[in-house]
Amino acid sequence: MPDTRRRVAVTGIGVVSSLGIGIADFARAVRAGRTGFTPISSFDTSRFSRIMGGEVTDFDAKSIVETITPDDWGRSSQFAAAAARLAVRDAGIDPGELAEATTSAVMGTTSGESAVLQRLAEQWSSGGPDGVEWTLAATAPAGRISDAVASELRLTGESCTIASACAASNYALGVGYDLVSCADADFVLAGGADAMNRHNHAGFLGLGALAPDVVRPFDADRAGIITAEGGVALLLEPLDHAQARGAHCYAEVLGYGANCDAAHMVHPDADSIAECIRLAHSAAGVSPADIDYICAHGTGTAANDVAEVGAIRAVFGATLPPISSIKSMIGHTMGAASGFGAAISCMALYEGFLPPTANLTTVDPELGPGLDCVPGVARPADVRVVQNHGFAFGGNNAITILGRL
Amino acid sequence: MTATGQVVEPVAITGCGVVSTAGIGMDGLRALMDGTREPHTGPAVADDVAYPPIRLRTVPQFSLAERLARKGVRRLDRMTGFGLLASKEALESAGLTGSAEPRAGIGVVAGTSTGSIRSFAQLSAELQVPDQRPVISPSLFPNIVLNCCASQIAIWNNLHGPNATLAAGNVGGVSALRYGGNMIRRGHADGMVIGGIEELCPQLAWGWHRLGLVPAGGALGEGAAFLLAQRYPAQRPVLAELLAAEVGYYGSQQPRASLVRGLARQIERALTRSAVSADDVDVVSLGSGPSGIGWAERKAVVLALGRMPATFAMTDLVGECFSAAGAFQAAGLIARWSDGQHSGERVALLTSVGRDGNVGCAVLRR
Repeated sequence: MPDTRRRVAVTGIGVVSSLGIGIADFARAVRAGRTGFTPISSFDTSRFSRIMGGEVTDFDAKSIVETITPDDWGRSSQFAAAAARLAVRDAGIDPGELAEATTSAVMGTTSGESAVLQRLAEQWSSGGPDGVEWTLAATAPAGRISDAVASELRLTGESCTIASACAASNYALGVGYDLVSCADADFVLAGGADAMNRHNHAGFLGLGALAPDVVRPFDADRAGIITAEGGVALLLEPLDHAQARGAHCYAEVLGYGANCDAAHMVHPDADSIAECIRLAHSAAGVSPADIDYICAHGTGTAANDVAEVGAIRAVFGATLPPISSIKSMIGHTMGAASGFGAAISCMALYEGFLPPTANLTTVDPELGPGLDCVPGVARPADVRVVQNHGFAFGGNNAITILGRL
Repeated sequence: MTATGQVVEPVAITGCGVVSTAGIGMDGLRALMDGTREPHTGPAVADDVAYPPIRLRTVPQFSLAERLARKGVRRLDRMTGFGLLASKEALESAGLTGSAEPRAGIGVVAGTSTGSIRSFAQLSAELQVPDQRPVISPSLFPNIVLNCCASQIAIWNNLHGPNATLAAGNVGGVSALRYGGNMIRRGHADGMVIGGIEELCPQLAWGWHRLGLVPAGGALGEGAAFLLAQRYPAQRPVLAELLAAEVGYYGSQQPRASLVRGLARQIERALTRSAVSADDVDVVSLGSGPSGIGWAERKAVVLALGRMPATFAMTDLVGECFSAAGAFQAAGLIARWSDGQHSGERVALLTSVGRDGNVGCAVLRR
């Protein structure tokens, strides 16, 4: 059967992050190796032994969105809607065309509207059913995150929130790619969003996985993750349509792989991640030698680094492409994480640079020789194909492959 | 530019399992459907808070350890238990017993909404105890992450394919059918365990009650329903074929009227993509009861088909199961087509409408 799939381009990127709002500010900060960590202000940290977070402290949804009333939506949904609106502006496409066409919103998340659930739970604890502001409960379903995108842009295609934990944005990008390439949708806004919340922070603290100051992926002195928040959206568009309207095409989505460790809820599995890499290469029609850069999951824990680098070695052999982690700068944005990875990967392809790993002093010798983690600041480079990692609780792995146009 | 109405390849539904107000298993569901079993209506778990004054359709108490006949269930929450038991029945009814060998080609997709509110509330209360270190135990932390159930289904059944958890409100079940079918058609999996899960607790029930979302005469339900869908040729008898599933969002448009037009449009698209005509539809598995939003759903069906064929609404039997509703609608069809009473039915339409503006439908063929 002839391959009738359409080629899919990324033509717009919107980000709401601790390092800046809008793809230009975000990319500039990442290239400079800046970090976005501040003491957490969104919940009381007085009893916590770790207090740093990657909060979007200057986020004002009203200054970005045009259609929705932010107060009607939870913080994760506001991030999603704002990021999607920014992506559409960045794409330079008429929003009316998106609304008229079959345009879908597919957004990833780890915890949905967890900040809303947290408030409801606090109100319930202090006052029972009569103490709860129940209108807030209407904003709690996780599906609201993609609904916020669809509402903001008046879309009528599929609205779907993918809650595959910290690989969710890559799952969403994969679905979006399939929808556009198989002509199930004309356009897709794909990405992810998560808001800071005490439960995640307490959960990672329980795992002994929270860093006290900054995130140091691949470093011998790494101390864990920093919980963070944000929203990111990519506009996926048929390549021929993008070219016909003279759009800037950041990258082409070449394919993706997704699988499940089916072994443990919180410990990553190197063999399974290696298999996911192979699936992604096969789907994208590339081989290890084609990969110029790996945007790592790179959480900043030893367990992740050992499994991730081990998996890469199993597939790539002795010669590894440069591997870096932007979590060293924005922390772990949970369901948005691999979306941020995709966003910076698109910029790496479009502008020709390798995103850095910040805070890296000594690469952990346990990870083996020949590891280029692009320490400090970005490096100019000829980047043609990028591999973007997303791994999650439950062993949910997803990897997207992006190519230069 | 328009998205195409290309005809989709059918995938084979080879297994089905449920946990419902009629207990664990398809036999109970069939008995509930033919009126020989009553739904379980009281609180199923001893909670320290009372439920609001609304009708409930709860899953009768069960022992997960006995049902799974394996160790390691102590830290699993009740919602995950629903998913594990329903998916186990779905796999076993398709002849996939045991879990020793890795199943690389089989994935999971589960519709959810908020994950387990019961688990979230419990952990939240613990975090608020003054003078205590705010830490969630590593073994309980995954219970409040939304993909917990789908991941546990993979772990317990050694399923290494793509593992997704979807939220689309009421339409989450139909979204899961669409996602699962497409993952098989696009070569990402040979088989997908497709379904949805919801769990009741007093907090959730109060939310529905205070927001006025329980329709008059309706009941809140809980449970899980899962199907096993496989690529043809299936190794086992095919219970039904999953054809096209289509979804859309009309939440930013004028309400009601656009929900009707929107669902009608998705039904037309699904029929075209399934290569069946409106006249071919023998039965409609409705997502809502007659009151509230069900009005819009029925109107859309008539608008798209030009008539109203035989209908049934699982929600009347199992209660409002929100993101699991679509999976229950599909399981209800499988049950209906195995009772010997509806042998003339060949093509079914399954419809779903959410107050949030999501609409969806799927076509199943005997």
